[in-house]
Amino acid sequence: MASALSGNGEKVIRVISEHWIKYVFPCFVFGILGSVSALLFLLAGYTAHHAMWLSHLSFIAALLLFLLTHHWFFTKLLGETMTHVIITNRRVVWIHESIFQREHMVEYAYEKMKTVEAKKSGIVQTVLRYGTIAFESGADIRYVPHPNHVAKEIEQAMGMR
Amino acid sequence: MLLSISELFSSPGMTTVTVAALIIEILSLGYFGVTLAEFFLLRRKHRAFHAAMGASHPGHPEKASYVILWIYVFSTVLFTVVTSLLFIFQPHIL
Repeated sequence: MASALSGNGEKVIRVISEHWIKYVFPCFVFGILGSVSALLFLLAGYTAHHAMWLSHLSFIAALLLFLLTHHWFFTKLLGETMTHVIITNRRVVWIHESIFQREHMVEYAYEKMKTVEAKKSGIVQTVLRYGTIAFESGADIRYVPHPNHVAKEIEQAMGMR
Repeated sequence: MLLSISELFSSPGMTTVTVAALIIEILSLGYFGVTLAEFFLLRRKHRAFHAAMGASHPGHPEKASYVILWIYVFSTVLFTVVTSLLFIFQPHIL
């Protein structure tokens, strides 16, 4: 990624996407609801000859459930992929997006902080190598891949200001 | 068995089901369009923000969202066509 100096002397050091673990829950829900709608489609097929009204009802229910699930899943995923952390020589910016629901940008200026802390808790976070970056003030940034390395980079950037 | 257009509206019940299926498909495509518009709006804002900080583009997050966007576009078109055909041909084929 290009990292030229901006007009005010700010330089982007790194842009970090959140860890893929955040996609697991939406995928799980999508799988469950997708399976239910597939079963409803099958029910619509099997009852088409002897119970037409049940077939039509199941078909409409399956269609509605499937399209709702499909749009929810991809809206969620698109929002999540746009969420990222930017480390510059002056600040850390956490852009937390969710299409139609949330547009949240948190800024952690180096002037107002002295330390940054990396946390990994539990076996899952240790094995999958993700965790939380905590600042003295403001919300913690979750799902950061390799948080110790990122914290070190932020500390180095704090020294560059 | 392929139903003719007249068969899709042959009874009040069948007409209701056909109209319901049609409305669901139209609403789905409408939502899809609005989501794409919102996505591109957010992408433009992100690019402007990155440009203000001296970076050309968001890099990896943008690539990932593009991949998901294309899967979304392809799957939405595919499912709309398949479910419409499934309704018109009726589920006897299953």
